Amino acid sequence: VTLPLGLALGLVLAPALQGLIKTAKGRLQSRWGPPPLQPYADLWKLARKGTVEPEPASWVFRAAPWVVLASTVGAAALVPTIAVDGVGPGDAVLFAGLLALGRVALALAALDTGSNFAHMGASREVALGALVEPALLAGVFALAIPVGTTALGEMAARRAEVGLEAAGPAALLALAALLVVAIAETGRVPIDNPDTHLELTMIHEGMLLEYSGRSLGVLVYATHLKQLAVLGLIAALFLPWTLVGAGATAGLAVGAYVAKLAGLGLLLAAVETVNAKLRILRLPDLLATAAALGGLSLVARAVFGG
Amino acid sequence: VLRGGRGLGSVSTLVALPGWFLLCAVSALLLGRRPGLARGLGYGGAAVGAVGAIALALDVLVQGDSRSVALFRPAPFLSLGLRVDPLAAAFLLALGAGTLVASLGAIGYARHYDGHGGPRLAAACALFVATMLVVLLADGVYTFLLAWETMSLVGYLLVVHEHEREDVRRAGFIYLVMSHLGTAFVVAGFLWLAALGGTMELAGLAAVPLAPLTRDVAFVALLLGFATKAGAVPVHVWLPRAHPVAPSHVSALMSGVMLKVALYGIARVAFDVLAGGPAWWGWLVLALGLLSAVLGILRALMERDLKRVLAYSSIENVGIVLVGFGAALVLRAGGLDGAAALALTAGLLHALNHALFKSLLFLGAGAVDRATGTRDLEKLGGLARRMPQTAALILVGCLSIAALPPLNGFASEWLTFQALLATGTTGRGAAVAAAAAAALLALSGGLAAACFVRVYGVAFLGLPRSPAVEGAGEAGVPVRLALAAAAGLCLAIGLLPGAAIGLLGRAAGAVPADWASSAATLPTPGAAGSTPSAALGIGLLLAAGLWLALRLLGPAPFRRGAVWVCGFPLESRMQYGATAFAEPLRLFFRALLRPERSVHAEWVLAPHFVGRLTTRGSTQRLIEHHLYTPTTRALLRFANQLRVIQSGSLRLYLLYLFAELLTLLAVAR
Repeated sequence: VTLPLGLALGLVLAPALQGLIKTAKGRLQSRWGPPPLQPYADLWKLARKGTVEPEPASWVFRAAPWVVLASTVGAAALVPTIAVDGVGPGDAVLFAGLLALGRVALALAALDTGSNFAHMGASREVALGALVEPALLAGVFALAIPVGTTALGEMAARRAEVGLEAAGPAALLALAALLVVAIAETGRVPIDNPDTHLELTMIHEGMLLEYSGRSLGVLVYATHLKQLAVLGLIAALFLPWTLVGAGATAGLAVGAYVAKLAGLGLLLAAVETVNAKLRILRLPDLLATAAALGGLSLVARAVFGG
Repeated sequence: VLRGGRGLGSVSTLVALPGWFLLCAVSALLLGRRPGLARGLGYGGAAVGAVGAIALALDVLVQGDSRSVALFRPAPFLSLGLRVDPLAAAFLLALGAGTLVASLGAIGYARHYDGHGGPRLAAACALFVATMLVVLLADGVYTFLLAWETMSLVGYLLVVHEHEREDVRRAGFIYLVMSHLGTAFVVAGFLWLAALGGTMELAGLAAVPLAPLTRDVAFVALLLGFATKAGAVPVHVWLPRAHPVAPSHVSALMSGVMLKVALYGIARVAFDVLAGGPAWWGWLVLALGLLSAVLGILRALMERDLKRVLAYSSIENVGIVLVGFGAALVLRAGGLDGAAALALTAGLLHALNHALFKSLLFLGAGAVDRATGTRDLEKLGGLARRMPQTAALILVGCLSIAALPPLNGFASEWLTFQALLATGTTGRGAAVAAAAAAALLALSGGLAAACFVRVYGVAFLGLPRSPAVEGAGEAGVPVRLALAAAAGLCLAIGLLPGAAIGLLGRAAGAVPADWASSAATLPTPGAAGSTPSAALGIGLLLAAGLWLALRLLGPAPFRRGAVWVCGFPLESRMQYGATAFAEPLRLFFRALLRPERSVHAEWVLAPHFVGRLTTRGSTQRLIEHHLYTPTTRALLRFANQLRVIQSGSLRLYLLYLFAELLTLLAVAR
């Protein structure tokens, strides 16, 4: 029962998380910001709008939003939300693979438009993706090697068992690596800017430029869901004690899940507020550092234990 | 000395299979006057033979036994014989799959060569497959080396089929040089083992206990020799030159199958003849694999010739297979036999997968070449609307090779990651090394995704970049059929990886006898097999639900409109090309690629009015620049000095011969 419940909770809450981050960012920047439930209104509006498709596009452009949505839902279903189970073993490598599938589908759709702005976004997105994946896998392996599995639910359960050592130096280094990955995967400052429509600075948004109406709505929703899934992954791996099956009751687990997501969302808003976007050529440094932190985490484990 | 089962598995099949391909070759040659018939018989026969090879491989894998037949034994050291065991069968499966796709497509594709040595080409192809088959089935060093060298030479004939072109001859020459360099190491390694082990039979060699140093020397020599043929970095230089210049179905055979035969050599030596070794063997193979994977795909991203991209990506995939093999050796040295079998299975599965999607992609590249007359990505674009079926099938190949779920490339990469995870549990230093290896493997995966988004997006999507694309149409029926077969198998293995893992696991479990027990500890096929399908299934279900819900919400207006590019009409030149698309990665990895760029302006009126701007960009091939160029130069200098003894006088040469004879007699006495 917990698996469909957790997934449904995530599907419903995804736009709210985005709203929370935008509102919090507004307040932090001394603006009023949009109301937290604004994303629902935006999606509802897009659902009723008509679609304009670019002339050069083929079936790839039309199919891509649905592939992106399906792969993102699949990825979200793998992450333990309120209990230590995901679909099947809920594998971390499969999680990375499904995110990559969504990224590739969207990049192909962007190339299908023939628009140079979309092409620019696609070119940058896949280049960035090539750097994000090693950082993600390094962070995941830093946590997976000590427990001997890449199954997310089992990783969370085993980490909950070891007690406070799961928050030792080794874990903190891995957490830092995965937080950088989360910023990259959610397309946020300092790696990308989710609010800009200035062509020269955008990565993810550039690929969406030619989408409109329902297709755009599907893609926007998939972006929200991906954000929730990535933050949910961090929440489950680093604060596993509130999961059902790791010592918590269902009520506590649901409350803690919402609280963890909100906390991570606020953290992202704060990071966005105090940082400027990095030049794209500086991104490899940041992501290589993240990957190295994953390796350092294992060194720290060898030194301090945990 | 006949031994074996009944029916399909009977010993006669072992002889009949290479014989069948020889028959195809001979009949294609005899029909030289009727190129159409020769093509149909040669390639059609090869496709039938490929089905036979697959059937034999499946039978051996399911039965889990080995069969052998001795053919000819004039002297104790000179025996010709064939033998198949589960390890050979795993590679036989890849050979069958790759050959099936390539020959099926060639029935239509090779029509182009009908007036251009077509029958010769068909015969050489069939002969090539026959020799590769014998390498896999060889039961002794002598048979192995004989077939190996014949394979290399027939491969040369295939590479230089279009020998009128200067670049083809040059590529063929480099292939021949590197191939013989590799063969020299293989011969030396095998003879070293045979001399010290006292037998020429592979099975016999495996039973002989040898000193550790002897084993180390043999392993390094054989690894170097086979890695050269497999195209691993840094002995890869021939591959990106030779594979693109061959006809496309030959490229498919060479990349899809011949590289696997070289990998078979590594597997046979590492896991059977020498049966594992110290952990550093494994780390060496692992490092070689990661180097090949990352540098191979990075270089692929910089190329604009479609077939060169595919050739470089073959280097990446060979690297991934080697990562699996390396992890298996490390795990075996650590005594974790079950995990070692899993790691070896990962390598075997990726070898099979690569045979499938690389032959698909090379055939697809051939179809694009045929339809447009160019392989230059900068001149392509918009093909998906002109050849929709061909394009859709090639998309499956691109997604498979980019290791995306739910396709087969992901299944084998997932298993390789699991192998690295197991490697990481062998020690604390190993943990850090395994995490680094996983990060590099993920890097190569991410770069592969970028590479094939670039290939597919630039060639098939958007607007055409040159008039060459305008008249393009679907590929012929045989080619589409072959592409569909390969795409179907990619999808099948991707959706049900458990079946393939279970089957190939028998080969990994059966390598030496004491590994057989470890096969039981392989992960249950269902667990690994169901996850991608289940997750994507839930995703698709919910996406379909949303689609339906939106439908119920009422119809939304739909129209096609012009693309907004700041108010100008969209032109195809505004699009990103293949070079522009890879620009961020070129800059990210500038330390490895050393990009250079020069801009030359012709002024109408300096410094205000430019008449013509020429931009030239290039990247440096670091390994060739720092390893091969100095070596070649030194060799040429040495050869120049040797000219002193080359006077051209016949009497002097006779003296040399006499002196050599005396020396040999003195030494060998």
